[in-house]
Amino acid sequence: MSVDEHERFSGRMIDAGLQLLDRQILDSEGWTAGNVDDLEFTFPEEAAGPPILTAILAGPGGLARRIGGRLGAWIESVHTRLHPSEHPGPARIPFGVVKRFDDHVEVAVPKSDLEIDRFERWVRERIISKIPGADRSPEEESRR
Amino acid sequence: MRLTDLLGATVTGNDGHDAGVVVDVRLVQDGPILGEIGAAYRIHGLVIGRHTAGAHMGFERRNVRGPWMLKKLFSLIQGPERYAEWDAIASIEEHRIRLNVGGGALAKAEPPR
Repeated sequence: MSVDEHERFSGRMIDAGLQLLDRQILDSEGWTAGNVDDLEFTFPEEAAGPPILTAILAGPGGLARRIGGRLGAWIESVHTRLHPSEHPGPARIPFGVVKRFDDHVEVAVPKSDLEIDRFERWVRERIISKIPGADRSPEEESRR
Repeated sequence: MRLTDLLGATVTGNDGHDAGVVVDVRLVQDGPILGEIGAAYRIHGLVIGRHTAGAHMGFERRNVRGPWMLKKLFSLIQGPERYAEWDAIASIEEHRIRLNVGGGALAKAEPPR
């Protein structure tokens, strides 16, 4: 971003719930990479002041808390059981890779570089691919 | 801290009276340079309404367009929204935010500029 562009965007105000939450995320190649399910804020280290928006949280780990109640707890439990790491949190997309956002959020990196893709890939390779018939894509089926 | 730690939290004034619940969190882009997006977004303040019901659709807000009937309905549900700047926050607890001012002293929430 150039200095001029930076000046143009400085001071912009948004309502985070209305203008960011639930927006679809598109990667640098235009592929969908999940939704904005929650936002992470970090308190500045050096001085007291308002927290800074540091990351988008996406996927079941981010959504569970928003849903809350029994359903939220169930989603979190399924996510924890399926996730390869012992204490999985939500997939985290640093806000620094966000290029722009309006009715969707554009990030400057490919989906394969995002945490959300790692979990999806793990589920695809370890679970989905072991279901009988998983190797048949809908396109192949329609040709038969 | 997550956005969902703030949304829906009850806001209590220093007079002990509840001022409402957090229906949205307003951010301003005036922080340090973060990356592609430029200046980081920091929390500017909290939009406080009566309920969270339907608040994520924003029909009750003046800057959101929508069918007049829904706007009217959600305005009645939400009541007049108030705004608390970050400096007015004394503490953030689980499901509750305490202010260092009385709820009655809060300004009416205006659309983000």
